[in-house]
Amino acid sequence: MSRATRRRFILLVCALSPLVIALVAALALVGHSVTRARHDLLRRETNTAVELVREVQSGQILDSIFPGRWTLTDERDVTLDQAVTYESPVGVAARAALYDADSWYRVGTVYLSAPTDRHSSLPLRIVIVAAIAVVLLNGLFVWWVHRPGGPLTVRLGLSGVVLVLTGTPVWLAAGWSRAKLTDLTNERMQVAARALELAPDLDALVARPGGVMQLTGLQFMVPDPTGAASFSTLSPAATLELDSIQSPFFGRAVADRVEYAVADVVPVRLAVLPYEHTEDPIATIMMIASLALLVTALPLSFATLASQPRTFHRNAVAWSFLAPSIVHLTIFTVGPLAFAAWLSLHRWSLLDAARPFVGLANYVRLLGDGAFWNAIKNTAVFTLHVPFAMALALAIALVIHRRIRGIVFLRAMLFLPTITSLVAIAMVWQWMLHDEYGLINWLLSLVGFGPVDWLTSPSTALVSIMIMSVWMIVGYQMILFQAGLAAIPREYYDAARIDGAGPWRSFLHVTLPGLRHTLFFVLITSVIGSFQVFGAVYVMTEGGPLHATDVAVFHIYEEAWRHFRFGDAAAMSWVLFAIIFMVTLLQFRTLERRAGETA
Amino acid sequence: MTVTVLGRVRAGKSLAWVLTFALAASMLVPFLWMLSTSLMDELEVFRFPPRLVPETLRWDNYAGAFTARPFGRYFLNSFVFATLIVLGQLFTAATAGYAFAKFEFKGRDKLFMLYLSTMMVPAVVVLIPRFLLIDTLGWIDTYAGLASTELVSVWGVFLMRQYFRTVPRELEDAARIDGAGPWRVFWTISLPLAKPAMATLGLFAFIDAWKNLLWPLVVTTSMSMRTVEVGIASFHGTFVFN
Repeated sequence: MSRATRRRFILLVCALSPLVIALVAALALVGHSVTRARHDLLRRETNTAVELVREVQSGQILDSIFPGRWTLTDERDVTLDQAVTYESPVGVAARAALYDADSWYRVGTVYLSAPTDRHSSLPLRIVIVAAIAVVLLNGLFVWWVHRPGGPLTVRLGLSGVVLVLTGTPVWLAAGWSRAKLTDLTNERMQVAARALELAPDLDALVARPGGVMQLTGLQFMVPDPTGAASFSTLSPAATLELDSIQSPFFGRAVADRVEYAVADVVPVRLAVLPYEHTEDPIATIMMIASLALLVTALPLSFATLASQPRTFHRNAVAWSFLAPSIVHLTIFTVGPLAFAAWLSLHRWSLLDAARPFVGLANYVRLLGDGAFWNAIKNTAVFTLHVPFAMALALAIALVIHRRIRGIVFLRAMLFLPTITSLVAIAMVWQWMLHDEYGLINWLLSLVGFGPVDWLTSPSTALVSIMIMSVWMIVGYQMILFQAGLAAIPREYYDAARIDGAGPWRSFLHVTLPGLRHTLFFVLITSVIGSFQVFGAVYVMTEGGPLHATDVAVFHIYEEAWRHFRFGDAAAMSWVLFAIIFMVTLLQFRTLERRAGETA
Repeated sequence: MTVTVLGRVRAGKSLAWVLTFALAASMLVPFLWMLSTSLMDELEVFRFPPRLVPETLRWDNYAGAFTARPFGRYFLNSFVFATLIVLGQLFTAATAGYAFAKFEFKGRDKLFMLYLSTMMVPAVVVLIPRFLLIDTLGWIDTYAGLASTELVSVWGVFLMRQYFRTVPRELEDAARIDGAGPWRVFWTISLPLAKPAMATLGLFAFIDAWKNLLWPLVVTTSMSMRTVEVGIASFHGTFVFN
């Protein structure tokens, strides 16, 4: 075996192993999600059984709910409190301690086994299909990589086949797990509903604070005499919405953008987050898959070079130089970007452990969210300070261009705001703009203008921040313009003068075209920066008065760190990203073409 | 007639000159105002019309600020935070910039565009996932948590790439003929030549880190880990303080 072949073989193994590992991990994850849900259900059923035995002091009710699955012993396991699951010779089982009516003495232990018909694990056929797919993949990849010069369509087609072959078993398995999880949810609701119906003293059971919760771990809605009703651990919005749904029924209902499984057992309504929301492995599988593809790509591209030692070596060296920044960007920028997209599809809160998948519901809600669009509008208005700052910066740059005396001083003065603490600057400006004690209102009063409520009136607050931002950014832009001006050859001006052009015409026909790349760069970076304004607003107005300065990033910050709605905040930040992206693209399209025409 | 035109042009130029100087001087006003207010006592600050110069210089305001909040600690935190970031960015930007400038490899230009496009990602999009990631790692309220997310600056990669492209090949070739490997050439020849660009990048990285408000605000929870920016922002008092 030649060295190149051996090297190619090793790289192929490197490329294939992440794919194989990802496939196995994905399938394992699918099986695990169902197993976890099944164990959870069994624990909850056992708790229900314990509650019922305590209420009735006999096992008759249990026989109608869990026929043939339960046993009651007088064991008193002191270490046992809540239900725990364990592997028994006949399959998964659970046990929980039984207390007396005063909840004081342990009087026995309740055992519950899982129904035998639900013991199918991940179907064998899917695993077999997956294994065959991996072997096929292996062969296809070898073939594909050994023909680096093959036509693009063939290679793209092969990649498609490979993706489908890897994806299909995972997709099938995910569908299987979703169906299983739905079954488990329905079963959980049925057990809970039947337990409530059969309970001899339903009102007492429901009315006992905490007791109901412990019964099954479901959320119960208890109408109280005043007519107000609440689900114990749901958000107020979800409680209200679930309350307004017409009963009686047993099924699914959407409240607060999340689908709940709901059952009515007069006078109680049960609501529970379905397992397919809490245990669905799809998102994790997607992340594993994309990571695997990323890790696969590099050795694959190397494998095509294996037969050219010099190119191979140069590539390897280049990648070793790139590794630190690539690893960092993947972990701290690209990964988080993808994760933000994933977050935006969930109702995700730091306070609530249940983080159900809600699809595009966050985005749909965002469309009708006036406060968010107000923030976007404010951001757009704020961005209008950029052209003003640029015009001013260009004027200054033109005046001090080619003059030596005082230029160092001027530059230093104008650049000072750029290098100073933004928070300190914002606080000084806040003070200077103060209605009563501010310097600016005092100066205005000297020339006979009445006091202006700079930061305290909704109509001027945003303008005040824009003025401060112009002051802050003008020096930075001026420095860039100066560098741009210095790059325009003097001969162009001389030629223009010989042709009889005045200062204005030479500005229009020599300076502006010569500066177009600088202008474009400054515009693009300033607009992107201005869409992300945060510090000034945070310090000076906190979004007020009356949301007049509530800009996008501040709005997102509040949504996440004051209201802890991370899912909504992630959706907002993606919308902001999309807007910035489109605005930048638009500028590239329109301005670059125009710049090209004048050139 | 020519005399009047010339005179008008000269007058116009002087006027523009005077206006620019006035503008530049006005840039100083907030700073002088900050200095002046920081030395006033409380009553003087709330006077109308505002006093431009304090009656007596109250230097103890600074001492007061330092006793009210641990500003010494804030300065230390900001310094450590900014220094870590400068070191990290210098290393990653120099290596990546060198790779983009000096090596021919498959997909180089596409990869470079990919790097540049990450500059467009607003910090707020990755803010939440980065926070959750740092939280998972248990780095909340530590220097590691503060600095680790900012160790690469794509702007810096761009800068270093442009600079390394201007470094002549001949110097490196000479070292290579002497048998030095690529990393050795990089450390001993190319990097020392790039000192001016490294200085620029280091300066900007330091200023940017020092001015960063959002990330330290989010990732620090205790008084003793705050940076100066966060410290000042949470300190809405009469002390105006730079």
